[in-house]
Amino acid sequence: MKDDALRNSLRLLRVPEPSEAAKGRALHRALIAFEQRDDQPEKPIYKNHSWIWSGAIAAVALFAVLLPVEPLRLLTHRGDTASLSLTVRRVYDKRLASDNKALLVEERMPMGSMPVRQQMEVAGTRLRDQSVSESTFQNRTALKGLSSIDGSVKEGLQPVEGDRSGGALGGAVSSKLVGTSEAIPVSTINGDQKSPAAASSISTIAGLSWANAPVSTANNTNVPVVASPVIKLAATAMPMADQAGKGEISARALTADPIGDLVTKLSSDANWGLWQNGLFKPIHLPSSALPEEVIAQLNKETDLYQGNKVTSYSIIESRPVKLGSPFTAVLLETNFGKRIILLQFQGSSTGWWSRAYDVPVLPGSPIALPSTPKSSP
Amino acid sequence: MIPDEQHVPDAQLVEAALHGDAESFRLLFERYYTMIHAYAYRSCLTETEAEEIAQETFIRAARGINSYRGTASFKNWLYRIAHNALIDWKRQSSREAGKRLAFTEEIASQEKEEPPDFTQVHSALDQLTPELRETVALVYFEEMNHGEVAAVMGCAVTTISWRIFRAKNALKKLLGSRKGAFS
Repeated sequence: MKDDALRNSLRLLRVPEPSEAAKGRALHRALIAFEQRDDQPEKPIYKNHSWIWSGAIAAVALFAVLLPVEPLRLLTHRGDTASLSLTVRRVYDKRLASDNKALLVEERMPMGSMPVRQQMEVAGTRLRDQSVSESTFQNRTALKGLSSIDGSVKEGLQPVEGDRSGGALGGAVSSKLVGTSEAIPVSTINGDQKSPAAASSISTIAGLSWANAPVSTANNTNVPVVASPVIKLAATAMPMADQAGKGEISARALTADPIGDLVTKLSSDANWGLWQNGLFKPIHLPSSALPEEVIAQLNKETDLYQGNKVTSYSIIESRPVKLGSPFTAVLLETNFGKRIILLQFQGSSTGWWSRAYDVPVLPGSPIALPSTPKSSP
Repeated sequence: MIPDEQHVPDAQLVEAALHGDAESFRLLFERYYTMIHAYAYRSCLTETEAEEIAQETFIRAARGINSYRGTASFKNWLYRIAHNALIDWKRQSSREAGKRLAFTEEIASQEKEEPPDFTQVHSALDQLTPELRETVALVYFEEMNHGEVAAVMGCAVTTISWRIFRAKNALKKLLGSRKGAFS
């Protein structure tokens, strides 16, 4: 057979006998190696379970070191309104500590670019898919405390186009409860004067995280407030609420140039890039429309004053302003009070963008709550 | 003392060596050195290299005898070590050139005393790849079956069969063209 022939041919390859010297040398070295043999066979590292635990511990430690605590906490308590409130409060503290210069997103958002939206989802409101302005955020913060206290305002709020807050929550709440300020003295929440003790209990009853919030005083008025960060903001940005409460309107001390002051304020907030965001009711008028015409149409289609239907108004001043891009600012005197409306034509398809803002007031002057409308002119 | 060292089974010698008996290991060395040396020679076709590989095999076996589990025969375990030593040897490319030179000199010195067929077989084996040559050495010279060869070389049985098929074709062509034995 061919295979047998091949096998026989291969066996012609004779292997030379190993030399005795080489064999002796090999035996000598092998015996030396035998004396130095491994006492215990090395267990492969993958069979040693200790490395699994070491690796797991190292991974957890690395995870804890590299990742900030914030996202972990948000992941854990994302649906918890108490946690949300705490988050908001800390955010405000950080903001104040950095002199309002830091970006809100950077301060709060280790989780990504949509922290506000995530928290909006927690709130379960219609603001879910829109960007949120600063004022909305602040007002919503107030709402979380208020809604739990009086139990009347929570969800189902309708958006109020043109309101300063630019969103559902802020508009409705600010018109009914908050007025223009982010500060929410307990005394004016339900229209009744509250003692500090009562406020403290309220903040505890609220079920949020206000339990630990100090019952602080503002402007030496002994007015308890719901949460310290809110009162801090009020102290820096807005005057405190009227102690008389019950929605009584007090005279406002307007600044000399309300439009100019508003522009300055918005310009200083331009870093946030959020003041222009939010819902708005587009007014479909041509670019050549006069501000009076736009305001008239806006008043027909929306509520110009914090969710209240303005029945009469007059234009005090109207002038172009520059806020990155050109706008038209209109100072109105309505039957509820003064408002500044910013207008901007954003193309024929969109029409006119508009948003109503509070009129800046001098520090220390009381805040008017628009519960009692003025008599119509 | 071991009364009749020729008839002591490998397992008993290994067991004694595992307990540190150097004499038992020496007996194992005596029993398998020639076999390993032949295997190394048929794989590398160089006597000096074969001696080095055989020596390296037993040094490794002595150092790692405690890792011998008894799942395979001691002989196959030694072949496995020799195979690894051969792989290391093949990796040394510098030695490859030296091997060629040594082979030429060796053939020249042996041609006088060996029959002509030796050189033809030597030359034919030398033209095989190292893997094919080693497989041929284990199958045709060490009389291992394909499964044992696969265990020694650390590959699948089908791989061994395929190598043998290729090696046979190549050797038949090389040896047949010279001698006409396979035509």
